[in-house]
Amino acid sequence: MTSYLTWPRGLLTPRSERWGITGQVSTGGQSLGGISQTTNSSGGGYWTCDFDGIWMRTAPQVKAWRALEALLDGGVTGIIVPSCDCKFSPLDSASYVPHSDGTLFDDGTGYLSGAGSAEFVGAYALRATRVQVQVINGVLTGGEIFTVDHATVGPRRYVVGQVHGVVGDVYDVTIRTPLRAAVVDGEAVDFANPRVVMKLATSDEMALTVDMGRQAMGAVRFVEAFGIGALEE
Amino acid sequence: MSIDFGADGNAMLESDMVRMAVLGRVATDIPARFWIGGINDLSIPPDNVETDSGAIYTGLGDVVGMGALSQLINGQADMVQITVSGAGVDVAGMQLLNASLEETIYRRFNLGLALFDDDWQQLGQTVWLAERECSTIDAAREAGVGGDPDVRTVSLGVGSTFTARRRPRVVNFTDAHQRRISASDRFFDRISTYSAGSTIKW
Repeated sequence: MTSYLTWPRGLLTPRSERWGITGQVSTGGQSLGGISQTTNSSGGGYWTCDFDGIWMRTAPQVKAWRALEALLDGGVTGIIVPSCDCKFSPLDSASYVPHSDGTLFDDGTGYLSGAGSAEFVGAYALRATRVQVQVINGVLTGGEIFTVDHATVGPRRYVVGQVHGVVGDVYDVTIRTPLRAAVVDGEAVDFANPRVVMKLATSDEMALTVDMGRQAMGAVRFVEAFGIGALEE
Repeated sequence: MSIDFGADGNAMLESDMVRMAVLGRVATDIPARFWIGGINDLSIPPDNVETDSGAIYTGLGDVVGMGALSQLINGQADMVQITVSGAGVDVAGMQLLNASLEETIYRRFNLGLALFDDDWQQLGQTVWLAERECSTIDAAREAGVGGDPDVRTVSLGVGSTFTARRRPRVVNFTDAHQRRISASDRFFDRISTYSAGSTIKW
């Protein structure tokens, strides 16, 4: 299995990030009455990501940026791009559960309750968009971001578009983008660390201007990558 | 005669929003399957053209140019150049580029259309719009401007069964050539005075 570099969020932290699904849409233009027919022939689109406001105040930050710029080879090498989505995660965090009478242990801790987790219920084919997901310690309402780490195409990012129903802790949902690879029953659905394999949108995307030889403000745009080379992490 | 895409397909084509995939298939020994303008992979149900179950069509660039596909009547149709961008880095593009002319020429080419529903699931069977025979394959590269990457395109010429057939080459006789074979042979010594209205093309 291919291993990819991962964007060091802790070191090169964007002040803002913008994610979107871009598709190949064409139109025949408007009719006299203002009606136009829109055609999408891209099969559901691909992810794009903009990291803005990456403030580099230390030497390790600037050097990490330069190193990544070199290693990504202008978009030939793939990288896993994570997103900071924990505030919107549907899963409960790990927490201490007290005794039945509400008291804790002497050191102030309780029984450790596991963080939430999720997995597919049933197997689904390549490009499926209607799936069932079992969510332990969490609630889906739509708009949640998750990742499936496919064995063939690496981690891929998806969004829950609609929740059609829930039976127990199994949710029947519509997702976008279509599944990038088939999944098996019980395959993990990762809501905790959404990420996707991407590449630089343009070859000079990471050209960096260093102010006064001391600090720099960076911005970078990625697009989802397919069939791209990887560097060992 | 219009092409029937089925009730759901016809309804979608008449609406303002169409989800579709344009598919190309070259019947080389290992068929080259590409989804023009598509992203990632697409698996279509087998039919009389795509007989392999689970065949994967790989997303490839975008259509840069494609002539009108005339109806094939009595084996005659104009040759059509199908030019696709984004080739070279995509798997399907590399597959096409690596296929030499000898491999692709005379091979069957099918152009198909698959329609999707609102959830991007295929509506019915693939509709194969045209069946042709490959005649030429060509690759081009246009230099990028202002930091943009170079653009590579693959151009596939497809025509009818007779498009790539050639008449026997016109043989040109010269006195000099004949005398190299036989120095005393004067059989062609007056041939330069004759004109048959042909032009030698090298």
